[in-house]
Amino acid sequence: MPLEVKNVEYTYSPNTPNASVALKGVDLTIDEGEFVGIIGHTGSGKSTLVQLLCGLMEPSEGQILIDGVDINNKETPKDIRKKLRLQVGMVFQYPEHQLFEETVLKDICFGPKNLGFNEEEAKKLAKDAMKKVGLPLKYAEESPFDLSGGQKRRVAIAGVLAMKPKYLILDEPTAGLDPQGREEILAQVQQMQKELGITIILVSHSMDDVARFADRIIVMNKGEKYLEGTPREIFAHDEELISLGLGIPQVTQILKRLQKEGWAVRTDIVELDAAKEEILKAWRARKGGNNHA
Amino acid sequence: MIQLENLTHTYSSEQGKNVAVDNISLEIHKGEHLAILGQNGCGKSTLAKHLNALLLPTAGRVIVEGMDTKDESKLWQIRQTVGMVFQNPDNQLVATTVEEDCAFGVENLGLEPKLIRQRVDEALATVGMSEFKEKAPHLLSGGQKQRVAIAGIIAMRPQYIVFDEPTAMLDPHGRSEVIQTMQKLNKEENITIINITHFMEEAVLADRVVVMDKGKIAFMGTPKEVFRQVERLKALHLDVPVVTELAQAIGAETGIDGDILTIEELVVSLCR
Ligand SMILES: Nc1ncnc2c1ncn2[C@@H]1O[C@H](COP(=O)(O)OP(=O)(O)OP(=O)(O)O)[C@@H](O)[C@H]1O
Ligand SMILES: Nc1ncnc2c1ncn2[C@@H]1O[C@H](COP(=O)(O)OP(=O)(O)OP(=O)(O)O)[C@@H](O)[C@H]1O
Ligand SMILES: [Mg+2]
Ligand SMILES: [Mg+2]
Repeated sequence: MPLEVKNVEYTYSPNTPNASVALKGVDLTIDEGEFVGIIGHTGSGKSTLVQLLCGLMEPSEGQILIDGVDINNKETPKDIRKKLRLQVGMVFQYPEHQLFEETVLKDICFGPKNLGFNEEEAKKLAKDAMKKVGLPLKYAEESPFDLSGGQKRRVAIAGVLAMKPKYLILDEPTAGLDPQGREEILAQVQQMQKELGITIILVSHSMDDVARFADRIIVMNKGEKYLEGTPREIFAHDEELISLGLGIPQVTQILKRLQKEGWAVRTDIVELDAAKEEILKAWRARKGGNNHA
Repeated sequence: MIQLENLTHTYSSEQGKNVAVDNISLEIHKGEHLAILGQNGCGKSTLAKHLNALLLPTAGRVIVEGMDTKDESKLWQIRQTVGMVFQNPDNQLVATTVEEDCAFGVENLGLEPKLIRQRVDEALATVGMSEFKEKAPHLLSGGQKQRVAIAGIIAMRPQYIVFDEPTAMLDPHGRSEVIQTMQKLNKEENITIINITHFMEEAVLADRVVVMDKGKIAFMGTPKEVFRQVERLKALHLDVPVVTELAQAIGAETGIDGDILTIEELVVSLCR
């Protein structure tokens, strides 16, 4: 069953002089098993949107449906709404906000325990999750507050992976991770999507990351859904994206520059390997042409 | 100049001792743009916090423009000389409006109110946050907060600014603004920039790149010298810029150099 956002509006501090509309008229459907990327300028409403999806806040207008049920409808029994919400795992934008236990292991165990797993089972899930995020087990008994920025982020991600959610939302999960960590975590998440059928929603400022991993991209602008489509479709709108404070993947930039220099290359390519082939093909053609001349 | 002389920092906790910075000696020259790379937990932030006496060495010394950071009487002057922008803007914003927040540090410099005002206005304009002047910082999104934090430091006009992953939460436009700001401060105001980053594309812009591993300096050099060492970087959980990776992938057939660092360089080489 999909995750649906129906005509949602969200206003912070409504009915006060500080009222600020963060989302308006947002409609979306995220299908089960999909890997969706959300991009948008800072302040465009991405974090607000995903906090509504996980039931942390209620929309001012409109509905959020998980498996067809409105998670904010008070007429639906409370335990059913809670159960639905527990299917949605969320890695927040700032991992410090999520950490609170005395040790890394306890912190990661918190979610699974909340789901009803016993101490032993929770520990096992937690240790598996630590491996998945590349966090050595020697950190298990450390205080999460004594870790480096990137290590804290790995703890926060592990805490959510350990719950094996059906829908996994990651709000800027790779910010602050070293290149290898970034790669590993995104690959891990993609594997969960491919092998376990988990639905992934990735909020990111990295055009390269969403281009590589997402099946579909949603572009937010000033609280509204501006565009949606496959990475190739979206990144064809290069000038528009730049005017929205966004950009295009680096390999796409390179192809566009070459095209401007008169190279016969396609510019709707977003992956490195495909770009390599495209450039070599054009290079051979140019070289061949020169030889005949 | 900032001199690190056999700098060591050991964190002690119930779990035991953790040597986060291990006997590092390094000179940071005035006016240079230095980038520091290294995997998560290798000691970058710990080292950075020594540059303005937020942390003190557990062994060795740090000398900022001739002042030993252990000398308490110099603390104020050291903090004025070296400004710091952190990973997470939430911990840096304190006042009730953006403008007040940005003025917070400058107000302590004993300047005329008119000059304070001017510096704050300029700094907010530099980071593109002028229109948010009256807003409460906690109402801003992550990226917006970070820009305000940077403005607060810029307004103090320190001789050195240490950026600890300043662009980690910014959108592409915000990131390029901050990078351009960094370059401008370095080139036009001659402010020394120390940029700790996980973005290889940012390190390319530095004069010198220091690569850290397990509390030590693994190697350093100009961006070209450093990014030529692909295998070594990968072994340390790092990478090369996407352009460099692409240039290397097509290098064998096209004969272009493997030490290309920017899109412009790549295009020029290919069109030659
Ligand atoms: N707690 C809050 N109270 C009032 N306004 C808020 C609050 N949180 C966010 N906002 C405002 O709502 C809008 C959307 O913010 P949101 O955090 O959803 O953006 P975002 O797209 O996640 O940005 P970023 O890329 O910087 O994380 C922004 O204009 C922001 O200033
Ligand atoms: N307050 C603290 N108490 C104890 N140990 C700490 C503390 N802060 C950091 N450490 C440890 O010191 C080491 C270096 O941490 P540091 O924050 O300097 O790394 P970093 O290179 O900045 O990493 P990142 O890229 O993740 O930000 C890590 O092993 C970390 O766990
Ligand atoms: Mg956000
Ligand atoms: Mg750090």
